[in-house]
Amino acid sequence: MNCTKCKTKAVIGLPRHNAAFCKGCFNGFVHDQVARAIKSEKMFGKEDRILVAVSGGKDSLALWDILLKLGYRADALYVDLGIGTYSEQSHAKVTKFAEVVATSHEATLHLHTVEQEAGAGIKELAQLIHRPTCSTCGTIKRYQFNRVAIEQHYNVMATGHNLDDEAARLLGNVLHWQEEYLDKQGPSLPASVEGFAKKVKPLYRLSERELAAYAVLNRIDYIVEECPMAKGSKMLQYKEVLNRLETESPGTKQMFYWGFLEKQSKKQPTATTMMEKDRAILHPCTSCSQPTTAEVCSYCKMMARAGAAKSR
Amino acid sequence: MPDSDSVYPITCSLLSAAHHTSPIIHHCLHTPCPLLPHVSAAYDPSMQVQLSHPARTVEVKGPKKVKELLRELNLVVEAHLVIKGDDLVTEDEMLYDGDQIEIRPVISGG
Repeated sequence: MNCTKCKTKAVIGLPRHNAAFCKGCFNGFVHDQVARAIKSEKMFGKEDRILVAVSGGKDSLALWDILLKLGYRADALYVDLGIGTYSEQSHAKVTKFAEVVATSHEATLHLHTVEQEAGAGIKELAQLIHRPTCSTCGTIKRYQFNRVAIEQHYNVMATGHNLDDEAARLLGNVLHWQEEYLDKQGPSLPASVEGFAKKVKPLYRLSERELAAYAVLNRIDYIVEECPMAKGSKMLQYKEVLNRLETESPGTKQMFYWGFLEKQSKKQPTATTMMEKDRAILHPCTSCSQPTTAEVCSYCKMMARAGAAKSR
Repeated sequence: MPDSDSVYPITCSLLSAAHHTSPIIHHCLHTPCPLLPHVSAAYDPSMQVQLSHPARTVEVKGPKKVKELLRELNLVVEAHLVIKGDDLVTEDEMLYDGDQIEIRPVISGG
């Protein structure tokens, strides 16, 4: 198989684009897809300060790498969840990337350790408050990324969600007819109220396989091992189903998610936009001042419950 | 059987009968192997294929195209990368006995 662009030996075939690329042309393809996502969704500009949420996995490290190589001002935040050797290994991968790649671009790595603030790792916390680990993890990560973005004056927060993540999430929402979540499935969410950072997903045009290939080709050392807490999750099941469909009918995932985005963009503007809805229901948490729909935000409630459980 | 994380030794220890009775793997260099002579009449290297989730190494007889290898192992192309030595390879690449292959899953996230 030869490269569609330069005709040298290809290293990856992309059936959904009816193309194959050598390393150089594939890197060009990946950078181009991210640049198109940033431009078409008006995510950020060269003057903006970006905070990338990094986990040590291929997507977030590839995102940080791509943004730096495209010339953006991108720092990163790693949240140490305290999941035994998995967290130790992922922390080491992030630190190594920061030292080897990010430092030469004058980028900074911020660190938040769950155990330091909450007094326990994510697994123990979830047990203390009787909530699923993945939901506890999601609440903590969303809260801490937003907190650091606001406190350190970043204009925008970027996550490594890819085409597979978004297609799987959309499938889950459609299967359960959770229409209320569909409005927030776009790759660019505005800073609707004071205290909320703008959130973007610059990798939504790239598949998980393409991002893993980018990491391998560019010698980005990421954690291949799956999070032990995610085993058997619904999202992984949706991804498996979508990948079987994709293998039989290349382009299925992008038709599903991009088609959804196109339909959403053509929808008649409703009386209240997402920003107006948010402004109507969100107000500062009485404990920490981050926006919430309740009197006390879910993070503060969680920490209070964990504190009470520990003191019993 | 050796534990699932280990890469099986190339030379025969002559000590572990279990090693020789593995249905997938046979690495004995003795010809014929005194413990399993009918299998090891000649040294046959095969391809070493490293898999993840759980981490394990299996041997597969070459030559074989990447897409045939994935099909044989019942793995979906869209969910995996195939790395030969240090290089990423396409589905039409031919793999030969003696090649060191890694099949890396690409799915992540809960």
